[in-house]
Amino acid sequence: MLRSILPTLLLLASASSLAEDLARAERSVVRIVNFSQRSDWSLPWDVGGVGESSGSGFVIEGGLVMTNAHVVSDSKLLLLLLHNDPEPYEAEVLHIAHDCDLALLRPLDPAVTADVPALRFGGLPALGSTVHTLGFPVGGLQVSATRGVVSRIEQQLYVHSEVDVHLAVQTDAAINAGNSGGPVIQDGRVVGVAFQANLNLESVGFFIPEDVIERFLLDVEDGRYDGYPELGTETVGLENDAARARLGLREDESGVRVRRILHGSSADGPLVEGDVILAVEGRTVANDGSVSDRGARVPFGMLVDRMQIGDTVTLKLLRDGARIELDVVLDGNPMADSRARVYDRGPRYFVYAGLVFVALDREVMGTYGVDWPARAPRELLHEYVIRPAFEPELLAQERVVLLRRLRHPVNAEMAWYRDQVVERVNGRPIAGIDDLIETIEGHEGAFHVIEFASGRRFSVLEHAAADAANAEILERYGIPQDRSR
Amino acid sequence: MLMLAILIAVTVRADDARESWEQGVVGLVVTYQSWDEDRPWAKQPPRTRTANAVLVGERRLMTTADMIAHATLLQLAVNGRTLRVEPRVVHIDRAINLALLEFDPDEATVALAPVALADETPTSGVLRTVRWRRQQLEALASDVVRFEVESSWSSRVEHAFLHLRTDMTNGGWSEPIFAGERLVGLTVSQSQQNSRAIPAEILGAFLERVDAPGGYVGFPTLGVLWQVNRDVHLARFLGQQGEPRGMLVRQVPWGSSGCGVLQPRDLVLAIEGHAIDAEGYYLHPRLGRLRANHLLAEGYRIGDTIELTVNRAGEELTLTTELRGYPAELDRIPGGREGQPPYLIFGGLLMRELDLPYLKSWGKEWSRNAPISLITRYQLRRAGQGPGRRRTVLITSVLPTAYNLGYQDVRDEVVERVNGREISTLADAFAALEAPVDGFHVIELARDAVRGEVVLDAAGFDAAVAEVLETYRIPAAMHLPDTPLPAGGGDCPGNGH
Repeated sequence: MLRSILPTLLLLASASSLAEDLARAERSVVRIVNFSQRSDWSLPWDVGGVGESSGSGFVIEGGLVMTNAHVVSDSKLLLLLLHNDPEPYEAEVLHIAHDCDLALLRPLDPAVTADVPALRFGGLPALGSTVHTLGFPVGGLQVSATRGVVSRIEQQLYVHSEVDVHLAVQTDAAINAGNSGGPVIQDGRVVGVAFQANLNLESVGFFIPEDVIERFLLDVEDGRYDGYPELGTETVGLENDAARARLGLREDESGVRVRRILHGSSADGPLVEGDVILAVEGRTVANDGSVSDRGARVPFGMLVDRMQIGDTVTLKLLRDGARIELDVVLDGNPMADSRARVYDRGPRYFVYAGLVFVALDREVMGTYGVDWPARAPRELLHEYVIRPAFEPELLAQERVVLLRRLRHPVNAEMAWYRDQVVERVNGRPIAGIDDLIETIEGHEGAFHVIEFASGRRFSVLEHAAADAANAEILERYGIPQDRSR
Repeated sequence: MLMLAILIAVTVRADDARESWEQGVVGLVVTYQSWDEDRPWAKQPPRTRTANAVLVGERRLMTTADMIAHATLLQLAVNGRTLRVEPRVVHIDRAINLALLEFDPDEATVALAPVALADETPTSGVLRTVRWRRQQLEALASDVVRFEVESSWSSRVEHAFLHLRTDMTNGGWSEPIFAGERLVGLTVSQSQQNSRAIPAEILGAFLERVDAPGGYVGFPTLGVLWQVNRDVHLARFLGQQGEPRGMLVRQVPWGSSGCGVLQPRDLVLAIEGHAIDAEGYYLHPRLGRLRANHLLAEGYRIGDTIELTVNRAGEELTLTTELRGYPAELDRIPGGREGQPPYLIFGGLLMRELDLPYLKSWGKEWSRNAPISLITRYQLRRAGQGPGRRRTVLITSVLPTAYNLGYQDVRDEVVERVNGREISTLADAFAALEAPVDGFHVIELARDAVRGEVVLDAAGFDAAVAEVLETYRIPAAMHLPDTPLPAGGGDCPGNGH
């Protein structure tokens, strides 16, 4: 008898405590309104119009508000709307991490959140367990709560930066526009921050788990966000028996071969191409690159992902037949500037004699549309995607594109003036916008000779005529600044 | 009303007023079968296209080379009836897209009679485009619009094309064009009402070369990459005074007519005394302003020596060069291919040489949908050619077995070396099998490949190939090209991008 009523009682108790948990948590959830301004990379001097968007966040210890980076990116004015309080309060971004889509906000008046209960963090929820998301999705102004189960725990692409892969938790709890930045609650504690959904699949939302949040909070403890450490290796699996035998792996050994080392990364120097990584932090690396972690298998990079810049990772390597232990001091990702989406700043550019030069980055490629890999000019794709594989040092420098021409008699007859990567100007290799400005402004010859990366193309400006026309062209085309600040 | 009368006059013929060319136009029924680019040991289902051909001799027919590509059977058709006549190919020149066929006459062909070729293509007026459409011979008015120097799809030998505005619908299948009784062109393409034809001057030059003593000599082209020289600032920089003129050479590919003679940043001011303007045009005595390459195609043969007037860094030079054809065989990635794709099953890894037909297997939008690494290589194909690098060899896919386990995801990656040997052609990869490294076959992939190298056990190689052939029912482990690649010639180092 007792047996049969016990589950009911538990359920009742559980339901009641759940409702209380949610009601408590609800008081800590805030709506965030962001008035933002985003530059137009195709007209790099144009600072863009003002946009308004809203998302969610929640109060944590110290009266700070945690949310997603994408909720508060490119912000010019941030407003917080607290539970049952019609008054909007202005806030500022204290820390923003575009690589893991997290941010911490601080109300301009600290008293605003002083009395709001701070939510506490829990751990990684179990597969199949129930979670609740709280937030302000589209369709109303009151807080919304949705329930779902944890359906998968795996590393995912974080779409805000488009390049970072971290652990993420998949759930079928509805995560819609406006939910971003809201807490995911289990047993009264925050187990994640809702951040993205897979629109191609039904009821598949993702939240950022505590692992990632904790690393972020630890990173900013010194008052500055440094970002993720990156080992900087590309590895290939050694599933094939012959591949392992040739490298001299013993029967009881497994690992992955280092295919490429990113120029200027943590691994550049300590590791060499062809090294076999046998173990990371004492954990054996399987032939597919995975290590055992909390009862699952994760790529070995996930171990590095939990560390901080400046930490040391211990590797066991097979190099030239010898097994060596190596401590590698971790640094950030040297490629992030040109590969990741850019926020909170405009393009780096320079306009001279009507020629518009910009730094080649992900945003420039994005001006060809979301499907830029199919739409961008092939030569630009070659320079951005393919050539750095052959010349890795190109990844470590800023590259310059002649994006367009503002037509004027001084440049009107040029054969090449669009989507051309600049290789040399006046005989000097160009390593970035600053370098270009210096080269052009410091030149004394009668002509500026601009050589492009593709097909031995080049264009020429008459120096005196170009200088004379420069100010007039800026005026004529309404360009307030000839260069990025 | 007047227009209508003209149309009727050319499309409807009374039997007693047959024009002489009516016996000279025949339908050409081509059954063809392309190779399956993904499975290069297999052919795609056979298909049929109906094209046109024109009698240029008692038993000779001319058509465009495109029409007979991948043909498995050629048949003639007259009055909507397929004849029991199988023409043979006498000569085919893909560089200018023309083919000459020959047939054995019989009763069915008695009524046929050759047409006369015009010496010159008219530069204005109304011509007639003629074709067999089921049982009827159609002759529709086509207005001369202009002449434009272009290259055909599969080749890069540039010459003038006759552009027409035609009343014919869905043409472009090698329809002959007549001015009065004389043949003045063969169509190569049509888009809506705009059609494009090879003019009489080029048709005549082709026929003359087929019968030339000493054998056929092809059409030359300068083969350099150049740009217009309309920018007065650039011209001054190059040391040219006054109005800009001449074509500005950007790149001189290995094996081209300019190789060893022209240099990047040369301005070609004249070819054989014909002045070239800033847009790269010269004045043709009859056809007007044409791009300079037409001059070579119409009047010269491969092997002829020509004189070039060149501005090099402000100095005017007279240079001579021996003309070559477009070095299509020298391209790292050839634009066309007849016959079976060369392939090699390398322990289950499918290797082949990259060519345009393979890229086109990504469909109409291939230039967007094919892998970026292959597309950009295609774009830079001329910069990459040289005596040491002839073809781009790929692993296109893997036929998985236990032997090659771990490599099943390798797709469309470029092979650089096999067992330490540089891979310039597929035959190199085959030859490299002779010399495994410490008991392994080591394939090094290009820097942009996901995987750096593929290592296979040399001892188990032959058995693995046999297993792949058996398991996946593949008839042969390889198809290597029968003839070696032609030598390129010329020394023009530093032609890279």
